[in-house]
Amino acid sequence: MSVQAPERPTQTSFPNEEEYAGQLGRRQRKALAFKFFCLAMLTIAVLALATLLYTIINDSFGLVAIVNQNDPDQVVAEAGYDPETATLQDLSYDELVGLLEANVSSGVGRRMERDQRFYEDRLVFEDEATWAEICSSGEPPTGCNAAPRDHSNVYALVLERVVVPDVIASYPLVPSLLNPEAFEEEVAAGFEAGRFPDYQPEQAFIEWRAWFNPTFLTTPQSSTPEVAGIRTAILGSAWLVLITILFAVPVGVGAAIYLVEYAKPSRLNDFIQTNINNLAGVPSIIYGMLGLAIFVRVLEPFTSGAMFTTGVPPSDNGRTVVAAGLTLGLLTLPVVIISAQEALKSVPDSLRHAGLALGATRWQTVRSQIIPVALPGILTGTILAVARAVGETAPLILVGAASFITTDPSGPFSKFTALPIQIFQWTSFPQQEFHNLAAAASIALLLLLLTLNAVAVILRNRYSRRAE
Amino acid sequence: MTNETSTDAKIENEIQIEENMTTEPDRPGGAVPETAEIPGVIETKDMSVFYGDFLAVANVSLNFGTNQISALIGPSGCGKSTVLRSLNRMNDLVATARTEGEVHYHGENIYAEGVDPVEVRRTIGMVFQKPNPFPKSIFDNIAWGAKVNGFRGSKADMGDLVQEALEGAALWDEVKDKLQESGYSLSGGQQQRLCIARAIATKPDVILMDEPCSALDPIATLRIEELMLELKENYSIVIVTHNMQQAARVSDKTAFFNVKLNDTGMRTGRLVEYSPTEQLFTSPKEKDTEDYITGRFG
Amino acid sequence: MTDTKDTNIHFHQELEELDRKVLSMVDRAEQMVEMAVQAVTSDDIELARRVVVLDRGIDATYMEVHQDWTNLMARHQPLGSDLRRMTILIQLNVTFERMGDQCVNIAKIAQLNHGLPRVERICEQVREMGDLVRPMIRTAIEAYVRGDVDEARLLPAMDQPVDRLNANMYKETVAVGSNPQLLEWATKMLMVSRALERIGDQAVDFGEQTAYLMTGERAEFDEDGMARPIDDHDNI
Repeated sequence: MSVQAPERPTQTSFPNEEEYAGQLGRRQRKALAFKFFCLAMLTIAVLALATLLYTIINDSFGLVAIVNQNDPDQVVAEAGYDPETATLQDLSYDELVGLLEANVSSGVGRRMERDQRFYEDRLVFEDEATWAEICSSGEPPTGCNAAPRDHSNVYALVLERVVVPDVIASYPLVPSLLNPEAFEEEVAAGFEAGRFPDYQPEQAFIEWRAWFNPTFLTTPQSSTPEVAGIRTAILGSAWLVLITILFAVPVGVGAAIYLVEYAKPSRLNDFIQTNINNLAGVPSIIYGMLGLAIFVRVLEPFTSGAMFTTGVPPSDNGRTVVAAGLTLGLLTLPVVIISAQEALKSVPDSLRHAGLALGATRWQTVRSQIIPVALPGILTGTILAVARAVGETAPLILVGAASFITTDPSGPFSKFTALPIQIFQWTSFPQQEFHNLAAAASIALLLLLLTLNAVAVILRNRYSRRAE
Repeated sequence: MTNETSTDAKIENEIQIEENMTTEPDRPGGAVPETAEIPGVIETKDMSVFYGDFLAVANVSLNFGTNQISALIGPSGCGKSTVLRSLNRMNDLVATARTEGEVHYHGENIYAEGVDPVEVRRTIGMVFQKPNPFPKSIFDNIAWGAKVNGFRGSKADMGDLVQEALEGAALWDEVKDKLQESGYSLSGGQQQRLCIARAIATKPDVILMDEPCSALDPIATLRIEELMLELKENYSIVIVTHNMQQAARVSDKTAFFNVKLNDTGMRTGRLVEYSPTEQLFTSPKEKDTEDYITGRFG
Repeated sequence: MTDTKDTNIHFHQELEELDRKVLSMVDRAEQMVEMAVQAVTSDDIELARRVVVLDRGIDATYMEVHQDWTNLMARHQPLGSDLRRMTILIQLNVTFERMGDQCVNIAKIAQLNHGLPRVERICEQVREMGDLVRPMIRTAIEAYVRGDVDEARLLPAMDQPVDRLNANMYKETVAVGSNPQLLEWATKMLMVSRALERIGDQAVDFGEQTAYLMTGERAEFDEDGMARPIDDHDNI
């Protein structure tokens, strides 16, 4: 069916009715083809992202073949409890410490105590004299000043040192769901081939394991993959986010306000603006180098905490949370400035004029009228910028995130690690279990990013609804 | 003969009516007396405004009367908005703007060295073309201007101030029950009256209006014009308008600006005529004015 | 400034049209003066009848002009010289319609005086008044069409002989004697004279309107054609 226009005098430059009808068909088909092309591109993008998610999730859950050197039920029984009703985790703090004392060599025990004490008031492995000596030396170990361990910390140690679970094989999620028998055969074949010389086939049992589980989030780092968790990394990342925000937001928003509201157009301002735009694109490793040179080395008295004698204990060098936080802050600073500028520029000039025409100073106008309107945009931009910084790995490596640290960061001047570092480190080990851990940590990182983005969206919606 | 008498009577009547008709009614016409040149509340003396090298409006000398409404009319680009914005130093916001000449407010040159534009704008208020209330409640819209200027009264005093301002803008009855609602919840005409209330809350004595009705429908426009005539009693108003009939309706004196091409091809605005409104619109002095108001304009 | 071009051309075209209509009325009125004077001095009642017919045309045009004028005002809100032209057009509309009515009065007197004895002297004077009044109307039209204020200022002088002749008509009427028929005829001719004098005044009024259009000042012409602003006004 076509809509007929009334008879009009024909113009020779336009097609006549039949020509037009034919062309119209061709044009519609072409339009449809382009539409499907774009849809295909979208499908490719979605598939790529889905593959990423699939890989991560696949490696985070599945069947494992596990061998415990010491059966936890047996340990519980030896401690005097009924294994049917009590688990290892139900044991009291003192009982767990006692287990450690009984099962761990004194050297290992002393090392554990030096990393972090078990009790505030007494020592377990060390003797008082030695302890006092080492603590008053030039480089005291972290245990001298850090808070003592807690239950989950010691439980993890018990698992690691007393039960000593060993995952000898693991299987991804989808095959585990679809074909669990194949895994059993694989493990059996492995025993026959002599891949597990330390164990007997009867010792191994197969169970479901969620590498990403709540314990994973609350357990500190460990060299044993079976008991390792990302608590230290999460806390480290949290500290980094905090310091990044504390630095980048005031500095960035303040700079943006000046550039938009106060600066007069001039060559100098153009120059500054161009440089800020360019800095937003500088590779993060350059920022890492900058951070290393300035925060870690030049500003060592500050970043190591040596300048501050009260409260947080100093580290022995500048490779601390505050140095990394400031580095990440510098990294996000250009992006914060640019997005805050955009948010401020999007406020209509009519509000500024209205405010100034009432005899208000520029600051009064900016503070009461402009910033509230620009706030959703500023917040969104800031949170997105910070979310990006959370995932940065290269600058953290340079600034000295420790790849193996089991103590939680106690303050801005502590040594630290972060989620991306953890993931990076675990992926570089050959054992499959570490890859599982890396996948699980990736899920944690993705969830953190999703949360930050969701907060950005919620804040933006809430504030833009208020402005209506 | 009845015919006769009726004709005679008719003729007599005609004559009577003729006599009445030849009596010209007393008209306040003839030579229009020039308003005595007492300095008005704002006076520009040979004022020119440049944007960089571009001379936007040149050599304007105008005397705006106290408690009068003065209208600025003219084609696009003639500089009338520029002149208006110079009166409260809002032109300063344009980075390249430069003003020569003087603008006297109550006898003091507001462009003299050391004059703070912030202070100037407190007593010379402005209403803009598109209503621009703050994204705040109606109450806060009006209270804010007072607060930033250091209002020291109690909450009750502020309430009184807000009410007074809204009454002055003929808006109180419509919003007195919803003072906490957003300024944006009002209609266009109400928003503009809110902006007027906001302007008079800081107790100015001059109100500048830049095409205040051009974004409003005809009824809202008429209400604002009525309001202007009421406000005239307490304020002096200068209004820029594209609408000649509006200028004719509300103003006491009208200034007509025209844009002239000078030898270098620059289009500069100039003041052509500044006359009492009735005279300007019935028998203007300048041919340019006559051409403009009759539409014989290129 | 660039050359002025008319951006209000539709209104100005309609204004021209209105102007033409009003002028057509005064053209016709001038014709009617000639015919009416002829009718009343030569006792030609056929001519008198035609004058009455012509007046209907003027009346019709008067209604049209009134309606058109109102519509133009409503739609265009004219200003400046356009506004002044509009204000005088509506006044001229009434004036010329009255001119027509005066001619009809003369024509009716011609009919009333039919068959009555005439005094040639009086007829001569009436014819002379007609010959004086018609050029005044012409002059007023020319002055208006050309926008010539100086020409308009000639009108008061042209009106003086008409006024004198009208004043003189009393004496002539009294001098007629006591013949009742002659007296009746003569008193009617007095009214003719007055009607012609009114027409002369209306022509002067036309000139004053032209001066207002061109100068923007409302004024009356005194005897020398000088404009006298209307402050203290003596009733006529």
